[in-house]
Amino acid sequence: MYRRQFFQHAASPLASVALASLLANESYGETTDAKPGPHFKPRAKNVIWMFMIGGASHMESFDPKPALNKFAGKTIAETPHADVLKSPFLENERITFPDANGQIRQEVFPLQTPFRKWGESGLEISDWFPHVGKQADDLCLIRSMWTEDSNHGAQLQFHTGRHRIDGFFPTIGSWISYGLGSLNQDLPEFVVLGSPLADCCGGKEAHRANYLGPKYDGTQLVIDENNPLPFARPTQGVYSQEQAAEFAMIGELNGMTADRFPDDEQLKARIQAYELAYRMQTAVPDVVRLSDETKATRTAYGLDAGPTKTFGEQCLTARRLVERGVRFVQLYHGNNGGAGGWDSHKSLKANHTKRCKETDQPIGALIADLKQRGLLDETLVVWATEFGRTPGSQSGNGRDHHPYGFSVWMAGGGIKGGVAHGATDELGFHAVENRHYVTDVHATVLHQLGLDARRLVVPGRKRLEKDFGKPIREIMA
Amino acid sequence: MLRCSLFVLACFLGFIGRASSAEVDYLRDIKPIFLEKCGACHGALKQEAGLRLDAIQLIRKGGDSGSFLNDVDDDNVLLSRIKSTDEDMRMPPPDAGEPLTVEQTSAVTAWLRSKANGPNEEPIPPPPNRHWAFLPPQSHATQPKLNPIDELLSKHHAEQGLQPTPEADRATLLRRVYFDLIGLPPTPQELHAFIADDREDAYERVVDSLLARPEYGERWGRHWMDVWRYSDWDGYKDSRRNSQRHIWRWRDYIVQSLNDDQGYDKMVIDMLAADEIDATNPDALVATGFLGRNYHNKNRDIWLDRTVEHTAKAFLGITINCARCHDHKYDPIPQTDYYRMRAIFEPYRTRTDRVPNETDTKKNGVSRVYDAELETPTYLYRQGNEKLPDKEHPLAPGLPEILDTALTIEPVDLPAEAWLPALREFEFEEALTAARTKVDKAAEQDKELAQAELESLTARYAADQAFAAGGVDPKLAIAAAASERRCQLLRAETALRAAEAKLAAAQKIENEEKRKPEVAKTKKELKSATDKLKQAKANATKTDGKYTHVGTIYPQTSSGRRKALAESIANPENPLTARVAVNHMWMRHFGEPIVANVFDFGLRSPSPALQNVLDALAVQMMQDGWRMKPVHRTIVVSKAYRRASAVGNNQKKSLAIDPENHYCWKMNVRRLEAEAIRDSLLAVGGLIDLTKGGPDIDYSKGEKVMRRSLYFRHAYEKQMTWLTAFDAANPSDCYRRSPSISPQQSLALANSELARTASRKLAARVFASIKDTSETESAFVTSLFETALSRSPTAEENARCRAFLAAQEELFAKKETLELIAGGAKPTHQPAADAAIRARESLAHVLINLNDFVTIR
Repeated sequence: MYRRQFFQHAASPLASVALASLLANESYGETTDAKPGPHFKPRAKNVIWMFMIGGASHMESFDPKPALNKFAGKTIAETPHADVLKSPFLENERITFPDANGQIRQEVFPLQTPFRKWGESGLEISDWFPHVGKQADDLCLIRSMWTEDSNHGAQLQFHTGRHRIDGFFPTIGSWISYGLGSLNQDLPEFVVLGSPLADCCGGKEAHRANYLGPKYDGTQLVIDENNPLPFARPTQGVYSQEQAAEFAMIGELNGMTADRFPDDEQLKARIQAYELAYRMQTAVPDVVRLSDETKATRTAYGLDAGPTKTFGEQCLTARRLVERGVRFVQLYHGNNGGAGGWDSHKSLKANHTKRCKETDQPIGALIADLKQRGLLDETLVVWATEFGRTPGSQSGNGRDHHPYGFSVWMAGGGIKGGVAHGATDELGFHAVENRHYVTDVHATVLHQLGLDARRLVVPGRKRLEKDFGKPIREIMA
Repeated sequence: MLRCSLFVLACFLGFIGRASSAEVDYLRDIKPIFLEKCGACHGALKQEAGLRLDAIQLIRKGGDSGSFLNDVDDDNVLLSRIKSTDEDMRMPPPDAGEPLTVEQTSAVTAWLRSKANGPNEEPIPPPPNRHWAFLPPQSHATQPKLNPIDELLSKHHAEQGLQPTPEADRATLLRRVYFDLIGLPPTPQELHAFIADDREDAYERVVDSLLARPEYGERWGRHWMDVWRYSDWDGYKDSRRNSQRHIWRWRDYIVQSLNDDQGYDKMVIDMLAADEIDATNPDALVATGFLGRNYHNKNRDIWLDRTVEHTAKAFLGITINCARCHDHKYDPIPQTDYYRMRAIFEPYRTRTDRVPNETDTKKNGVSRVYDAELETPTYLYRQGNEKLPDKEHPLAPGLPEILDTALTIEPVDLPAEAWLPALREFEFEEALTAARTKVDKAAEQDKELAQAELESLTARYAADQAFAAGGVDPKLAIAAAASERRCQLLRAETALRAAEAKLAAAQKIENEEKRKPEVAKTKKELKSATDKLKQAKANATKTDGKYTHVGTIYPQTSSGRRKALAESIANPENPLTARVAVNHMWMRHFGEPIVANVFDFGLRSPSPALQNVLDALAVQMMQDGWRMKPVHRTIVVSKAYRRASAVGNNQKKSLAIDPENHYCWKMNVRRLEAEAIRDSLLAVGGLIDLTKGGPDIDYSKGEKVMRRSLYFRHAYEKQMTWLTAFDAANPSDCYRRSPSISPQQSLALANSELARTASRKLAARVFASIKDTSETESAFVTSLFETALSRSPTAEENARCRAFLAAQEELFAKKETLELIAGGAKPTHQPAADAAIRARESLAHVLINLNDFVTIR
């Protein structure tokens, strides 16, 4: 796997080993034009990717549909918008598993919350997101998403671009890590915070690198300075002076071996890995040491209130990570061991008010904080969920899964603010204007970071057309 | 560290990518474009419009419409087609691929303008059926006294002007062959013995002793488990989602078969068709874990897709999965071939048979496959879409046509114990014993029923035995049915008596509020019991022979399809099977395979540089009864294997000629696999528990239980963190490991409880082995190196280590000035209190963290 063409060009022995790892899965020899990037001048350096597990309602968040109130109680067929039930877009759904959920619901269910216009842009956002609403002029809402899976495998699909039945593939964070590497020598480049997806819906595969190799997997950090990642600390009873001497000695003895085997590139890489590991022992606990933050900051993120504490800590840690140059921070919200906390087949109002309460203030604080520190320009914030929810009611007071139209948003990182891009129809059923499959979000994020999705190809691993997506150029500032 | 270097890396890659645009080079710039964009329809496989673009002579010739070299500046057919914006005209067509980029188009234009320069003698790819891997291997080794590898390699070396490295020093060689054959390091005693052994065949003796050790099967078992996609049960709570329960029996089968030097052909046959060939032998049936492992709890198409894909990749090295949605783009595999192969597997299902002394198959059992619903048709799915089956044309089972093998499929009549496993002696004995015990233990009023049940069991067995032997015996069947009806009657009478007693008790309740509902409830129960008794009495008058079989009845006939498949794969006539297997073995000895893509020997894999070596070993294996130990032996006793990895002054030229070492003129340096690193820690710490086999161990106990790594649960989401840090196999697909170098690995070795425990134990046992001399410290350092790294320290290393011991001892002597690191797990093994001993532990810890601890040179 240590490839010739690279050795011929590489001046840095270390780089050659890195490439060797990069190409470890290369199977088909020389027919590649895969070139990790950046491929062109980036607009942003880092990404904070927030994923709401379970399917947040688009109508009750970022895509108001007054028609639902107007026709509440009628069947869709009885409304003037009955044609949504005959749309060819319905064909995009790939049904695989028979399930009581994931159906089209016929009886129109009214909006469960009022909306208001926010900021100078007047973007309409639900009253359940007052803190996010205050940042409206920095938000770019994308109201025209669609996906294929009407069940929660769509969570995985949102990160790989592939339906759950197709198996596992590299995720957006791993492609970025693969394509760009880190800006920080002491921390992993792709960090995951919060409880990941449950196994049902993709599990940790939603932040893994699959065929790119475990090196590009997201590294899960726990916000606990004593145990932030596996083996970050030695077993109890080790002295720092003892350990420092040991690491120094490891470097020295490895160095003696390197003198005897000057051609051994792996050995040089291993020496550096130890140096990084030593620094990570301090850097990783440091980054999750939120007690360093001011009282005002902690309060702003909601760290001292029960409902907002957990996600607030994640958002604050995310800021600390991008400040230190971590490329991609993936935040999960709503793990409940199953389909996800946002999944509201019944009692949508009770469910979503709770979920919004948990996330709204931390997210609002994060954007404000990034902006105030001058980091929002170079940090792309993405808020996403696997699908929307049905315009019709389920169980009388809930909504079912809805892959045909839903919303995500982005902020910062060279994306226009105060903009709503794309639209669903009057009922919020189908994305009808500027439709985007999930990989368009990937392509946009990659583009802002200076990467061309089409050039991220590993020889021997076929990527389909739909895997690449198309950057949403209309929303780029 | 690797991460921070990626920027540097990106710059290099950019540099390579922009290879000077001033001059277009055919091989570098043009050929890859034609291969990628045009190859599928204009190459050896297909020649649409009579055009081939896979060799320069053919490009110059052009297609049916003639050459396109003349009119480059206008009306050029090639350029107008690749530039066209009309989807009906554009090449490649929309369903075949993306259009050429602007850069690609201008490169092609520039090349055509420059008169399509390129090598005149470019080899023309042969027609698909002449592809090297589809032709039978032949051995070109001619000198029986020479190792065939060395004989063939020496010719290559002479041709290429390569000067091989000398034999590695003995210590390096011993460590290499130990890890390669048993996955563990030599002990210092073994090291000394080998160095001191001046017999000519000292090395061969070591090799033979290693191949005879049971650890060989464990080491190579884990390798083959990668290729065969071993995964333990992967369920959620009580459910099964992927793979099977008790699949560890398949793992033990692999280990045992390797240790017994069972033929590879036999293993393939067992894994694909033991249920058709050796249907009553549980030791063989467990091998069908290879198929059971593909199970999917929700989708049969995924299940069968995995089976087809991985059977073809693992045993044949062909990517038939590419033909699921369309004809294969590179290989002569039409879409129908994919579904014909699926048809072979269409009837297979999984089940768990009982094992002695455990009636609950969730707790223990033999997971195996069997065929059912043999008539289920197989349809081609248009575009691979299960919603679009082509029901007009059901497909018969078969192998890809390119293999030119018609399967002879004959249904297999199974022995009775296979389709009615409850008839197996142990099951009958256990059922009988249980029934007898029930009689003995029954209270007086229940005796009659227990006795009747025992008699019924015997009667039903007798009837089933007759049934299994060839047909229903009416007399026995009637007796069995009658005995069952009698039990029913007795049970109903017992139930009635109980209901009556319950009602009587209810009527005696004094509290009226409680009595009323209780009486109502028990009256209902009494009514139901009375009805049941009535029914039982009515049944008792019947005289038919409808009885309940003693166990589940499975189909009596198996399709025979998998048997036919297995026999055609495990067949000397098959050009792929032995080559694919030998290539896997070679890769794990040399760190690099002969055929670069170990699961694709199709047209994208041109004849490898060392094809003759691969073929010689493949032929040897087949001639030697497909046994693998002789192949290992041939490989590891070869000069090629024994060479030093370090390049001396004599090889500088070789390095320039063949920097990738395609021709094995030196050994490759390799990082150990995750399991070997952990096992090695256990071994040098003297902690290792070499117990063999048995149920998979909880993966979370990897730092507490000192068994070898292959025995821990290994499944999707169920893997030991420690092992995944070192790139353990991806349970769903791992034909080849991708060893990385990451800081997480350093943290695992530096900070884990396992590593600390091992280093403390290592220091203690090495020190205990030192005889009291004036040079105790130097001897300690030497012995520590020999134990942990299988070599002596250099003088410089020894001196430095002694200085380290002194410095650490001094440090520990004034503990009050030191600062403890907070956090971390509680160690099971505390550091020594004595400063000198603790210094030695610290040095041992350094040694297990050295690069050479995880490296084979």
